[in-house]
Amino acid sequence: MPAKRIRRRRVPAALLAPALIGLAFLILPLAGLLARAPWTELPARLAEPEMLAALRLSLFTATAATVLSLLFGVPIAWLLARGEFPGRSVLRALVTVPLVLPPVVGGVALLLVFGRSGIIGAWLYERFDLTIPFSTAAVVLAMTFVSMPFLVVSVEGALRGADIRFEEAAATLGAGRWTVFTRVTLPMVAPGVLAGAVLCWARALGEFGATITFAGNFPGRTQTMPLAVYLALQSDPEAAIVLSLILLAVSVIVLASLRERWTAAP
Amino acid sequence: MRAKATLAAAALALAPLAACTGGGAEAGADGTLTVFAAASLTEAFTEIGERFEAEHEGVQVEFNFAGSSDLAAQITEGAPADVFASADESNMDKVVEAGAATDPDTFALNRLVIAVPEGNPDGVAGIADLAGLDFAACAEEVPCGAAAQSALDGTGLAPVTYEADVKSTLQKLTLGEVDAALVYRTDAIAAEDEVDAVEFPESAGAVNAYPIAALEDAPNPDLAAEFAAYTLADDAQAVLEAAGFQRS
Amino acid sequence: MSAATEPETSGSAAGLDAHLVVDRGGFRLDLRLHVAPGETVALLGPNGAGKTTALRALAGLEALSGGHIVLDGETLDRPGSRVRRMRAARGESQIDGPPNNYPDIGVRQSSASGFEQGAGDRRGSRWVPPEERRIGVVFQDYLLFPHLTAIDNVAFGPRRRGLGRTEARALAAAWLDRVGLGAFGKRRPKQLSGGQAQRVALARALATDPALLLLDEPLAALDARTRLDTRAELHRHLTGHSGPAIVVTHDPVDALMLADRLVVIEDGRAVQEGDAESVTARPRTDYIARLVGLNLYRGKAEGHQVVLDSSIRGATPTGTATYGDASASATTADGYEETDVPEGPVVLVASDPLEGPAFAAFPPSSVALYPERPDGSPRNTWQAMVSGVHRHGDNLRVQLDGPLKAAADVTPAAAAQLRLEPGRRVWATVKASEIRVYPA
Repeated sequence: MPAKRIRRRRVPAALLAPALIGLAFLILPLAGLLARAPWTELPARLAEPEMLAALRLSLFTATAATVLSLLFGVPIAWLLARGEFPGRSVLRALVTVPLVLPPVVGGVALLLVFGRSGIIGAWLYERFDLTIPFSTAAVVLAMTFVSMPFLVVSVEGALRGADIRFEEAAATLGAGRWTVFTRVTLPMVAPGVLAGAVLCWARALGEFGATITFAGNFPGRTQTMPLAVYLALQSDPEAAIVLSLILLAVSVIVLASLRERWTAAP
Repeated sequence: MRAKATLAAAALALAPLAACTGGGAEAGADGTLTVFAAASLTEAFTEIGERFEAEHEGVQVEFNFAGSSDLAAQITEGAPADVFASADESNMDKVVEAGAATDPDTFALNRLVIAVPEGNPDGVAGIADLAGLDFAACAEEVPCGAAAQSALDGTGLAPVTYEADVKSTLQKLTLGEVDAALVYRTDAIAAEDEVDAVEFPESAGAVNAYPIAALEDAPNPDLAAEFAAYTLADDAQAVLEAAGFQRS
Repeated sequence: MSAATEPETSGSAAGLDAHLVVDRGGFRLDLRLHVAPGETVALLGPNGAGKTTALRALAGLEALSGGHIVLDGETLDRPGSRVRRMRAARGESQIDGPPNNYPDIGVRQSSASGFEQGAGDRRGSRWVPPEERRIGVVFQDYLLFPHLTAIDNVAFGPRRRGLGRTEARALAAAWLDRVGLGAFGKRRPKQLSGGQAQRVALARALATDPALLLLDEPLAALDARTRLDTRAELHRHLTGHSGPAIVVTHDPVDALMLADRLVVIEDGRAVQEGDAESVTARPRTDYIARLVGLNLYRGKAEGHQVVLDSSIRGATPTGTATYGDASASATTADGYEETDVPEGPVVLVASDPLEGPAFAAFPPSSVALYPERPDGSPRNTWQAMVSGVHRHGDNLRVQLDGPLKAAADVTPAAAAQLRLEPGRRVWATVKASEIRVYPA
């Protein structure tokens, strides 16, 4: 009996072969990093205050960017999935622009808007003596810019897949539109939102180009792990490997424990 | 059976990749010279390359411009290059230590200037005038940053951002995000439409030497040596000087 | 309120008074419905007849193009005679215009309902959104919220109507008890059987204490066995419901068992209305005739004779009935006639006299088949060709082709004796006393 069951579950070779090749392609570079890592240096690196500051900053800013993306991205996704208005397809294409834009260009674009002489930035500077670039806020903005599309695309897909009739049922039970959204729509697309948020957080954590262009690089304030890694790569490639492995390990731990908590929930 | 088929599929999938890497090395044999040069040399070396081609019938010079440390890493990992021109000595040293080159020659010097917006609105005349201004500099890990750090040592001044390379340091100035930037003289000259360069005495102690060397595993060793030598000749030196470099 | 100028709306008539007009593409629903408090009406009709559209309009999930919905004296939907947007400007409505498609309201309505064109709307239009209508709906596949437990599904409505969490739960628990699922409160919809889910859906709809109860194919998704039990239980709850109730179904048995009155709709219009007995005994359309298992013909009554319309669309009860113009041929006016007479009207002879346009109907069980032309009394005798034979309960249902398309029920033994198979020619008779004739 068990043998039979195993047989039925066997993956067809036509799927298995490309899957294995693809996995090797994804995993081998990581293995390369692990093989090259100077493990003896690890304790010393972990004790460096600058490294810890960069790690802390990375976790904080990526989380903040994810929260911002949820706050603004979910409504965008709703608009794209449910709204019917002229130019919706154009808007959908525009939302994904940050996905195709080289992040460095994205950073320059952000400077042109929020920079000291940017459209909004100039006004903030004159009016409130507020400069966004070279601040932690700039890091969060840069991350949000590049990672929010991942959330929007993911949530929009979930919303399109959701059955509108459940919302109608809720309406007949006396739920207004906002209640329908919070009590029915959102819980039903929760897996999509979660997947989007994870993707968004991961993308934000690895963000480099837009961050260094828009927020600059200042230890403790705007130097996130990817920036630290990149700069370490300039002078000490082995240190860079250690740093990136630390970033990798932390993100895997965070995501795994998150998943645990979500799947453990009743 | 199944396992074999899988392996065959894997081999097939990888074969084109192998072919790709093989192609590059072969090209050196028919008069193509591959030069890995620091990004700050882009304008000057492009010009020098054209002159070199003009003097050498059938020779084609191809450049790979990037940060010196990236280039050094690529070379020590076995990238098929003929010549390496670095923006600092430490990256050339890495290549020499790895046994990929011997006896580099210094062919140019570059010193820092304070780049300010055209017309110098804040009236910057020296390093001390940076006090109270937002300015950008390179990160210590990159050559221009090491120079900047030595210039700033003891002044108590710090930039608002430590950029990853000199081009982005200058970009912060041209985008108007900072009031000044510590950049190479050559970069300030290349952007002279937009920025003014303010020389300052402290930069004398912060000069970058640019070494060049033909590589041991050069696919085209003769041409490689010839090109390295050519950069020291008057013709090439004139081009470098026009770009803002100083003779070594 | 200006709506009071309309006679139907005036007063505090309890129950439902609706004239549902929905125009959509090539389809138009135009249906008048009056349901008294405590009465259950079944909307019966084939797929695409507009049953569900009617129900959605009542629930407020679809806006009327015309007509009105008045429930217990309160107008829920009445599109203005010209344009609907005026009332927002005059502050007559509680909410912005009616949606074309409920959840899209916000972004869609501007294009859907157009803009005001003038002040010609004197009666005043009105729109109450679904969440403010006191209408409970049991949806076809129940639509229990998958992320909520059974008890939270039932408590959802009471919570929205302002009850606190604890009170709503207590109420929900009471309702689950009432539908016999007190022990299943913690289950999620996925963990419920079809019959259980149906009952939770019913409890959810009833827990809001609706003035009007709507049920969309409430039993369609259930297997035969569960259906029987659930139907009985549903009937009990419908009887207990003090307001009007409407059951949408395409199943005549459900309709007959659950409803006090049937409204049959086809192509968006009511084609017959009445209690179960009158509708089944005297079907007025092929659809109902087939549903209730009668051979039905339309014609003109002249005393005891009914001259059938020249192109007869005989409805024969099969479930897979074939339509077609049976070219009239055999039975001629005197009731005795040749087999191969190609022309001439087909006439049925009935015992009850009638004059004028009429329906004639007889059950398949009243048709007798013979291998040879029978001697003797039957007034209605014709030769027919067997076009199909199907099982029907313990008997066989035989489809007859020929001058009069009809279905006949015979015992398996008789079928064997007659060697009934497609293509076989037989003689069919129906006694005059078996033929029901009633005005068309």
